[in-house]
Amino acid sequence: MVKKRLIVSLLWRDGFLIQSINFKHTNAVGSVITAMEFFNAWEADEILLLNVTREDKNFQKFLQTLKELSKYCFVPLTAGGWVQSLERVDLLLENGADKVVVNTQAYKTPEFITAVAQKYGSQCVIVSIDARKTGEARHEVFIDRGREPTGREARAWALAAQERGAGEIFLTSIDHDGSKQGYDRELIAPVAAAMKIPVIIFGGVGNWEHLAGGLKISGVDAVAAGNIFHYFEQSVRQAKRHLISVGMDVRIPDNFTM
Amino acid sequence: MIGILNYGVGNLTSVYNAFEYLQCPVFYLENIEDFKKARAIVIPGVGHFQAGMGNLIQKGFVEPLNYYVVAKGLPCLGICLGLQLMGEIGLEGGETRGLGWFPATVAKIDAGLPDYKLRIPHVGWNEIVITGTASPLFQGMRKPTFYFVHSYFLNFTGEDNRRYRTAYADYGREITASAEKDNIFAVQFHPEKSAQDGMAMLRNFLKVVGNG
Repeated sequence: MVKKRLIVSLLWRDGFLIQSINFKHTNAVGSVITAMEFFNAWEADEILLLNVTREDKNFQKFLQTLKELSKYCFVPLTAGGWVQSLERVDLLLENGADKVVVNTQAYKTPEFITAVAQKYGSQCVIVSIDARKTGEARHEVFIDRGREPTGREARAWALAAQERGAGEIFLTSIDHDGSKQGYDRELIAPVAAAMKIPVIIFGGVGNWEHLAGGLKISGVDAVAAGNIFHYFEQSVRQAKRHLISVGMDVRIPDNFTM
Repeated sequence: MIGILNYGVGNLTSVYNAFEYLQCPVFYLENIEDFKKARAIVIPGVGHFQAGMGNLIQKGFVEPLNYYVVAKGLPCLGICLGLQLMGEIGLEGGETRGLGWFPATVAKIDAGLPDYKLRIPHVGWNEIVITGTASPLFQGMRKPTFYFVHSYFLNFTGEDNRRYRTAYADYGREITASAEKDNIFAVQFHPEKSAQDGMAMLRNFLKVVGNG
């Protein structure tokens, strides 16, 4: 049976990797390539490289980073951020991405999801949803790097995106981003339970047990984290060790030592 | 040199990078002339059966593939869509004739199973079960885990399973993970994206091809 996945999320801004707290960027943590070695990235099940540059500039530079990264990345590599057109999807795939993440453009013109899915298959298009709590049992979708409220409920948009041809949903809690308090179960559980396509969750991991907690939410296929991997050397291996030790069905790389 | 068939579908770069990482001479096979340079052909691809087959036809690759691989016995490795195109008929995007190297239909994962509950596409890492006589591709590997991402699979029936299928993955049914016929190898998963186990499999393929 298919394994649960551990995804390392790299936030890229103007040529550097950065950390994020509530979508406000903090420290620059270095270059992408150095980070890959630091993480022992081959033990991650997937790498996500996100361009979180505030303005739409540096797309070419981002492509260069992606291309460089793809030479060392022999696990699935997903890229996203400022993916506004089919041409950009083409460019990301040409430069080494296996899948793309779309967010704002997909929300504004959902036909875009269908267009990517028709050209490359739905497995190639991940729809990213950033949500924050705006009322009792209400989680609202925010677009444009978490800046613009949409008035739409996260679950409703996730279902609509699935209908349009999304292959996976990448669900981020803005409230929990950088909080180290674990995943936002209140946001995640109802969305994950409703979806037919895989759901990846992001935001809030402060310790390895949080990853296990996320995987235990029904309907969650993959857990992603970013900041935490920057704090320790061999962090991905440590995370994997923890997940295996608590009985999670994750991939155990060959020659892996507990 | 390993020729990676460039027929206008995604994911070529990753396959190229993987062979480079293994320090194996590799090039993109762009036209009919290029076939002469290749010691082995890799048909990669992420995408859609009908579109993929359409591209093969449009680029004029079908005839040279049949000549070099089937008639002359050049080693060939199909990956993901590359495996699927080796089937007889594809059902993605309407019924489409494939290369016909394996007597199988490329059907949706839940085909014929009205109660199928698992999510499609099948995305992620899955262990494979090696069947029949051990394929050279998996030599020295115990319980390899590979990365899959697909909605359709090469559906052998009856005896053909035993004859051609060399491994399957369990995903609500037995999904053909690898198939083999003489010099033709095909895998549904992505070795170029399967970290250590994937690299080991590609190294094994290079052993089959021999040096050069």
